[in-house]
Parts: sequence; structure tokens; C-alpha cells
Amino acid sequence: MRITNGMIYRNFINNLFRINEHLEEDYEKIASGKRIKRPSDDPLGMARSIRYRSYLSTIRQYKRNIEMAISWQNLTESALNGVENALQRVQEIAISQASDTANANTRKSAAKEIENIKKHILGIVNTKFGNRYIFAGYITNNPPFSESDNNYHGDEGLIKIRINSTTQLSFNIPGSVFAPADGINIFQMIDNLKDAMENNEPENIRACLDEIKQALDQVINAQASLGAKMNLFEEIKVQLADMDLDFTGIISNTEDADLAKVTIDLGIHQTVYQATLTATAKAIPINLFNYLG
Amino acid sequence: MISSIINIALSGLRAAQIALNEISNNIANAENPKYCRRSPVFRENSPIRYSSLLIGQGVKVTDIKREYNKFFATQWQEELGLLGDYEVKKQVLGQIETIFNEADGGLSNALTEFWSAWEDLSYDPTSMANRETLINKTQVLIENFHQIAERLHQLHKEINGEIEATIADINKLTQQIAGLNKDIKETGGNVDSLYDERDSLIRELSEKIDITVFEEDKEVKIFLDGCPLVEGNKAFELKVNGDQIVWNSDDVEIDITSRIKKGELGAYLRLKNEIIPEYIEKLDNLAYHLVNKVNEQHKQGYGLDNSHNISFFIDLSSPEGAARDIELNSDILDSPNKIAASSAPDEPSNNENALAILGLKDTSIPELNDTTFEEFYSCLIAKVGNDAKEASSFFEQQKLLVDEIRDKYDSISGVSLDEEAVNLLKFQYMYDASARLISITDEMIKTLINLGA
Repeated sequence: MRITNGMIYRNFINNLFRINEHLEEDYEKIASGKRIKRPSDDPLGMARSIRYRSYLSTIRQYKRNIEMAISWQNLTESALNGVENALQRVQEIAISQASDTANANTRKSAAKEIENIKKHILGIVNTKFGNRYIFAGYITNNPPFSESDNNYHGDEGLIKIRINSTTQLSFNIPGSVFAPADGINIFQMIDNLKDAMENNEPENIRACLDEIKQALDQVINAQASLGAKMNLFEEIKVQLADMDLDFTGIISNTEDADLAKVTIDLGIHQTVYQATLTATAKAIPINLFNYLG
Repeated sequence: MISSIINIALSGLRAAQIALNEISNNIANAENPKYCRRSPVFRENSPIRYSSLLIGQGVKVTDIKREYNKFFATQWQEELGLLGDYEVKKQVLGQIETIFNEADGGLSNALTEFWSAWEDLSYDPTSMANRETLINKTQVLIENFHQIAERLHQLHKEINGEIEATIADINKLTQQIAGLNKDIKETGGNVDSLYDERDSLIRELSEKIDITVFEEDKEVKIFLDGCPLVEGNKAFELKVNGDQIVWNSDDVEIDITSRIKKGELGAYLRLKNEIIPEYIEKLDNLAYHLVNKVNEQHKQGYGLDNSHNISFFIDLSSPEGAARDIELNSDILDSPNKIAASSAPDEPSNNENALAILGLKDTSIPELNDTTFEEFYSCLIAKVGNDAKEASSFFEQQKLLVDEIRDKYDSISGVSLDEEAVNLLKFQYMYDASARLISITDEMIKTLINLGA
């Protein structure tokens, strides 16, 4: 075949362009650390990476949901512990004041203490997390209990969060545990006890002892079910943390450039580029006219 | 006899001069891409009879040949149509990819953050900060829809401009070709440079539109799928008429839009009528169904202020233009308390409705080919990527093919400086030898004249 000068120039230029494109790609990959910069670099990989990124962000959101729920539960747990301790103190007082060694005076002052304990418990069950009363069910904008009556003003609303696309778990305990319809209303019970103390009625005090025990059981049961749920949440949190790691790895595998490979590619392409430049520089000036005297 | 030798030497001198002239012309045009190499055609002068012998009478140049292979030239011209086609698609689809800008987050990221904001709201629907964040993230999502849609529409408009410009180029080219047809026919004689020019214009035309070329009696006829563009010295104009490309002759107009399949014009038409509208339609569908589904659920809930039956987005009546029209309901913007997270009034921490809206995130939407919003969008991105990748790799392949054919064409028509240098020497020697022949004949004649003295 006749090779003309035009063909030689054109091929050199095409080759230089092509190698430059490779170099450009290599630089881009190294600078960005990404294998996929545009959808066309790897359309399927891009679509996959969009989905993985969304999974990852969702997993992190679930983790955040759980962490927020766990803080709420921690507060609930310490509140329940507080109520338990207070009830135990009530129980101690009731037992000691039920005995014959107590008298009208000691009972009177015990009544004062019990009144304070009731205020203390009211403070605890009206605990707020942020601006929300934690024991109010859904009606978190109003204190669930007040001094004026012993009724529960919240509802049975269970606030749920999503821990995966199909499962929702609740994290709050409605304040009805302190005043269940079919159980002991703690505040009414305390009022009764206080009245019995004030009126110096050991019989009635003794009658309260059983109710105190039941009230304690109510709180302890709530603690137990809360504890179980908290364990579950912790477990899910660990799972989500694992998934976070997994997906981070998968995304990195999908999107990130293999730096070792790119560096080697870059070396190869630079060598080829230099060789092509050298060849071009040497070949283009060569011409029979150079040798004609 | 001796005078005949002088004449032979003279014919050699002349032939060598013509050859050297063509060599210098070849060298001068070595870098002219339109130029076809020329070479002189020599023929021996008719010999004369001398008794029983036939005596040679030297040489003459009968023709300057344009070194040209019609087969390669046609092949080259025909493959240019696809080259122009793929080049335009590669360039425009590359632009579309950057419009979606997925590598830096883009709409998919905004969509994920939108759902995230709903999650945060579901944890604490009473928090004004969570409500403001949701509004904020929704605005970002809306802004992403608007921007992509706006830029796609903008590109669509720009392509209309490109179509107008390409048609203008085509009309100019066909007129020039018709003009050259006339010149070639009228000039007669040496019209090689006119042929070069016409070939180059036909190639330019091929890149713009799919044409078939017939050559007949020095004239070319150019057709677009049966429709003449150039016949003899007449060029037929194309016009843009709304969405149509119209062929125009005196009083007849024919819509030829569907006949244009290749070339830059073909690519622009495909982009304008099929590819970009398809992307816009998909984006609109996504926006429309997102608005619809979220609104449908949102209306069932209650806001912190017990507002009920309120749309989250402004209701849209049809998918058309949804990506441009998607907007947050201004009631919600003015009063974030109207975001309906609750399934009942007067229950501030009730998040049932927020959870129901979040359920949409993982729901396959029948109107979106049974995919979730996210999957639908990632499929769209994969489609954009695939189209761009295909166009780019087709272009590379086509370019290789065209370069290869061009090499074949050049191997016949191109100028090789080495070859010209060799020919230069050859004809220089021929000239020298012919000149020398004259001086030798001169001596011979002198010898003859001196005989008598």
C-alpha cells in the first residue's frame, strides 16, 4: 500500500489523541478516587451505586432512628427506676407505720413524707424528652398527670420508628402503667395511704400494703418489658452497624477506582505517550528531500 | 534524421517540464485535504516508417490523470453519514449526562434525603426543627426536579436551533454542488480542481444528512431517500416547518422528516423527537406519581393544628410537565404544623401517617412499571448512561472505520512526498538527458557542416 504523508500525520495525531484520552481518564480516576464519574462510564454500576447509596443512607437513618429511640428509652428506664425507688420508700414507710410501734405523731410526719414522695413521682412521670412528655402516649404536649386529680391524661399511643422497610417498633411506654384501668392507680393508692396515715388508721395502712406491692409489680413489669425491648434495639443497632460497613464496602467496590491498577495503567500510558511522541518527532522530519543535495 | 533526434529531445524536454510542473503542484497541495494527486500520462509519438523500419518519434503528455478510486471515494462518503450521526449523539448525550450529574449526588440523593427527613419527623412529629428540615429537603428535591427538567427543555430548544443551522448548511452545500455541476459541464477541459471541490462538498453534505449520489455525464445527482436534493444545476431547498422538515420545489412541499435517518440532522431529529422527550417523560412520570402518592396519603392525616385533607405538594392534573411544575403546597410552606404526620387529631406524637408516607418509599408503584421511586430513577440514569456509552463507542468504531477507508482512499489519491522526491529526481534526469541530447545533436550537426569545409 502507498503510505502518504497525510496518512502518517493523521495516524500520529489519532494515536496521540487516543493516548491523551487514556491519560485524562487515569488522572481523573486518581484525582477523584472514583471509577465511575459519569453514568456512561458504567451504566449498570452507576444504577447499582445509586441503589446502594440509597440503601446505605437508609441504613444510617434506621441507625439514627434506633439511637434516638434508645435515648428516649434510657430516660424512660431511669424514670421507671425512680418510680420504683420511690414506691419502695413508700413501702418501707407503710410497713413501719403499720406496726404497733408507730403512733399518731409518726404517722402524721410520715404522711408529709408520702405527700412529698407523690410530688416526686409526679415530677418523674411528667418527665420530658425535648419538648415531649415521655409517658403521655401520643398526647405528648400535655403533662400526663397532674396534682389536681389522679387520672391519666395521655392516651395509649405507641410511637413507632422504622427499623427496616417492613418493621416498625414502638419505643415509648404510655403512662397508663401507673394508672391502669384494671390495676392499681399509684397516685390514688398513695393518697389513700396518706389519708390513712393522717387519720392514724393502722388497719387501712395495712390494707394498702398489698396495693403497694401490686403497684411495684406493675412498675417492675414495665421495666422488664422495656429492658427486653432495649436489648432488641441494641441488637438491631449492632446489625445495622454491620450492614453499614458491608454497604460502605460494596459501594467502594462499585464506585472507587482501584488505585494500584490505575497507577500502573497511568505508568503504561505515560510510557506509550512518550514513545509515541518520540516516534512522531523522529518520523515526521524524515523525508527524501532531506537527502537531496 | 538528425533533426528528428532534436525533435525527440525536445519532446522529452517538454514532457519532463510538464511532469515537473505536476510534481510541484502535488507537493504544493500535499497538505490540502481536498486534493487528489495528479500524474502525467505519457504516450509515445507515432513512429515514422523509414524503409522497413519504424523509427520512434519521442514522447508526449496526453493527459494529466487525477488519481482517484471511485469505489473508495463512495465508501468514504457513505460512511460519513453514520459518523456525523454518532458524533452529534455522543456530544449531546454526554451533555445530558452532566445534566443529571449523578456522580455528585443529584436527584437520587435529594430523594433519599427527602425520605430521611420524613423518618426524622416520624421519630418526633412535634419538633418544629424536624418539620422545617422536611420542608427544606423537599425544596431541595423540587429544585433538583426543576433544574434537570429545565435544562432538558433548554437543550431541546437548543437542538431546534441546531436543526435550523444544519438545514441552512445543507441548503448552502446543495447550492454549491449544483453550481459546480454547472461549472464542470460548461468548462470542459481540465476541471480536476472542480471535481476535488465537489467531492469535498459531497462529503461535507454526507456528514449532515443521508444521501445517495449518482454520477452521470460529469454531473452528480443527489437524492435523500428518493427525494432529489441536487439535479444538474438545480438544488432543492429544505425548510423547517414546525416539527417537520419539508422538501421544497416550486409549488410542491413534501414532509420528509421520517426519511432522514442518518447524519447530523438525523441525530438531531432523533434526539429532539425521541430521546430527550423520553427522558423528560420519565422524569415527569416520577415527579407526578411522587406528588400523587404522597398527597393521597398526606390528605388522610392530621397536622399539629388538626388541619386535615391538605395536599403536601400542589396537586397536579397530569404527568405532562410535572417535573417542572412540582411545588410544595404554599399552606405547608407557610405553616409547617400542617404537615400531617398524625392519623388522628389532637395527638401530637401520633406518627402513623408519617410512617404510612414512608411506606411509599419501598412500595412498587404500578404506574412506574412496578418499581419504587428510587429504582425507577436509577433505571432512568442507567438508560441515560447506556445511551451515552453506546453513542460514544459507536462513534469510536465508526471513526476507526472511516479512518481506515480514508487510508485506502489516500493510498491512491494522497500525496507522498518521498514519491514526489523520487519523481522529481527521475524527471530532472530526464530533462538533463534530453538537454544533453540536444547538445550532442548540435555537435553532430557541426561535424556534418565541417565535413564540407
